[in-house]
Amino acid sequence: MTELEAIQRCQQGDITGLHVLFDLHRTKVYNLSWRMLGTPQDAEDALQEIFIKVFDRIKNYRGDSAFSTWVYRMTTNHCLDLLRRRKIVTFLGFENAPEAEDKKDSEKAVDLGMSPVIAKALEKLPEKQKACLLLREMDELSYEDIAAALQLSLGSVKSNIHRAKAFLKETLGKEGLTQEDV
Amino acid sequence: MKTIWNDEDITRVLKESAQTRPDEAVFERAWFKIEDRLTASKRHFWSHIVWKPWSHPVRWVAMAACLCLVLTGTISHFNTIGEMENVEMGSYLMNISNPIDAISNDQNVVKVSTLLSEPSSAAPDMSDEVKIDSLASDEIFL
Repeated sequence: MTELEAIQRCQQGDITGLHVLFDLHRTKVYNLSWRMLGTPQDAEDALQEIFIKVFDRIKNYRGDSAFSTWVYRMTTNHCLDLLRRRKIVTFLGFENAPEAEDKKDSEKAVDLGMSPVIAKALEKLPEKQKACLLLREMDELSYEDIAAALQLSLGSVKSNIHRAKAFLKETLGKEGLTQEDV
Repeated sequence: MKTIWNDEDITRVLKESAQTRPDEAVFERAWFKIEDRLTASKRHFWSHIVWKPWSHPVRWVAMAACLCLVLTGTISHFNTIGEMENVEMGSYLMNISNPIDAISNDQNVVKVSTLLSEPSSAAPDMSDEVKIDSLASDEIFL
């Protein structure tokens, strides 16, 4: 079954269509959620929520943009929304900060397959900058697709990526780390 | 040993990190849960129709406003009915207790006594005819 057929089946309320779409996009959705939210548990929960949202809202998908871009938009919106809620909950003092979870940053980074220093530096980035950078460098999306996914202007996407890279360069330089260390 | 980082280094490091593939069991578990939830939501057909105000604080406010509106409407409706019944009951009791007074107080009823005492505009005034006749009789006599 092709992606288009799967989308049409989904629009008719057929779950088998969603299964095909899930198999096609699950890895990228999961990885992006993981990098944005920081833990595999959150990424797994996000994966479920996002694909349930995809099934609920697929009738609104008109095919103006690529389906992957539409799914990425849903993923980033979901993650940004979760991070915003977490900030409010932490600010109000209902819950401990997400950093104080069971796993340490270094363990999380190993799970993510990246250096703890890089993971820590990514954590410090503002959400929008982080999302732009991850979509560009890890998921290899074009600037146009990132702009569509995050509902930002092309200029804003480019400046966000530039700032994020500048921040990472400065942070890694300050730490005195070499490319070999990472 | 290089300590100055450039854009290409950052890109390379991030791309290398992107190569990791998560465990297949994670996806199987996630799909099982998705399928379960979607099937469950199909079973509970009424859950799509029934409005759930508890899912968002704004809906609580909307729900409270609706309840207030319904309550106020109901109270004012019953008050209006009560007032009308009181007026009807009052006039009925007055009719029973003092029918003559009720007639005099009732503006729609014309009093018979007034009709008899007032001069009617419809009836011809006979006083002028009497005067003419008296003059004519004077001429005859002259």
